[in-house]
Amino acid sequence: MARADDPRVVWAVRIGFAVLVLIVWQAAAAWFGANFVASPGGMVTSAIALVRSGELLRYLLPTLGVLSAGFAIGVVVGVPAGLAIGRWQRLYWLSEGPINLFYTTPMAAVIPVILVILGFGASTKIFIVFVFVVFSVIINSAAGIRNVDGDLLELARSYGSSELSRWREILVPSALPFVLTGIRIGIGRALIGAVVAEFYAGIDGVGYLIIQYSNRFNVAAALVPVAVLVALGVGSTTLLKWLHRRLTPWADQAGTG
Amino acid sequence: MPQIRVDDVEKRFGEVQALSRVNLDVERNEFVSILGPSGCGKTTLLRIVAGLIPADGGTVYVDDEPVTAPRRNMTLVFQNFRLLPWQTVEDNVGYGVRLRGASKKEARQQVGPYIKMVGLEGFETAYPYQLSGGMQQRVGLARALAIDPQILLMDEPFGALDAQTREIMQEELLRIWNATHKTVAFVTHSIDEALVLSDRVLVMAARPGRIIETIAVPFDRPRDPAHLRAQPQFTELRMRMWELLRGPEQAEAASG
Repeated sequence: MARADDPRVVWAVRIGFAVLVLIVWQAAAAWFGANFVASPGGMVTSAIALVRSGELLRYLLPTLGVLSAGFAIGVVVGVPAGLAIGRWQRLYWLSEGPINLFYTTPMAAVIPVILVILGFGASTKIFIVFVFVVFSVIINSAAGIRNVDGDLLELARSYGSSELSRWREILVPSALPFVLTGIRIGIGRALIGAVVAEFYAGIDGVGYLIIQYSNRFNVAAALVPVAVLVALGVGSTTLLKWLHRRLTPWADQAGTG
Repeated sequence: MPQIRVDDVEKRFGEVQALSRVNLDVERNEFVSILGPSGCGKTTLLRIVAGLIPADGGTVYVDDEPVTAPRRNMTLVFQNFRLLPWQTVEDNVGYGVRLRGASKKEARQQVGPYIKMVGLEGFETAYPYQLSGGMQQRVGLARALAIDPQILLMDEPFGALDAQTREIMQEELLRIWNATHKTVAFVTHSIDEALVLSDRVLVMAARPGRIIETIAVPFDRPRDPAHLRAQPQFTELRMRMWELLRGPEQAEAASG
């Protein structure tokens, strides 16, 4: 076994490295000029200005709305679809090809087409986020069901269980870690979908804000919404990891099964 | 009438004749072991009796009815325990009780005596990964007993345990059997285990899987395994089964 990881040492290393990066970054900004490299200090100043004027919030709210609606629909549709595909072989045969096709298609390339067909409204962007989220959720949920221990299903059969009880007692808890992983991957994809859709739609949202400031060569201000998106992604991913540990306390230790 | 009757059962897996015309009876409240080398089809036989797989020929009767699917008065204990990793000890034990319509809470209240019976008091809220192999199989046994079946089918239930734990579990099973008098069909490849536990031992041979001998075990109950093993008659029976198991075909097969 490796030596015990003292959390104080772990965090000292992490914080030390972050400080080092900030110093080098600030120095590089001074060397190359703020138009090319935004300095950390410059970003903080821009962030304060954007918050004070209410501009950040005004552009952030529509993005959050699109994100949460598209993500929620993606999960609500994707989880049951994935579970069903994992359980019923014919459904799996039928859908495996198309789903892998959609999952591997670079969705960003399709966004302009979707916008042209469906228009530039919020519902189109919600649809785009949905499309970005739903396939990773489906694929992982289906994998979770297909990964269920056959011995446990036979146990259920030997006790004369119904299909409903098999779902409740065995299939759902067994697939849960996979489902949560699919959702976590979906968060990252949702952020990409929302921002790229806003780049093209060019009406509102943080994506539009980023484009505006980039076009004015205000790199520091353009990076502020990016930082907000990063915080959003890291925050929700961390929350989901925590939820994962809480909901599946057996999964960490039960590795050898 | 016997509680379990296996009548001319045949089973093939492709080219392999797994079971060839197997006949056996298990009386009510009788403890019968099915003893044989690995690959002789003893587990296959038990799975057919349990209604998990169909026979290719012949019929299994339980309480005079042909078995076509798992039956409610019969539960199976598995060699690899098969506990639900996401459920606590009491919820694992309550599995069958819930399947029979009890709520989670009702099931927890009902399984108390069975958790006590297998000596797991104080571990009700532990998860399987926190238990040793022996304790996990205690959970498996309690789960099977908790629906109060008339018949227990046990498929090498102590085969995955270390020697010491195995003997402790045998004593536990003897004690529980004395208290409940279930009808038991117990599959094992251990001569010692079959002798310690059973009223009757059916000895099987492989290729094709078949029963070659039925041996009555004459020892009184309740039994003390340590005392039993010291008896000359125990050693005699042991020798006889050993000869049966390594019979002419086995010796031939071993030499190629």
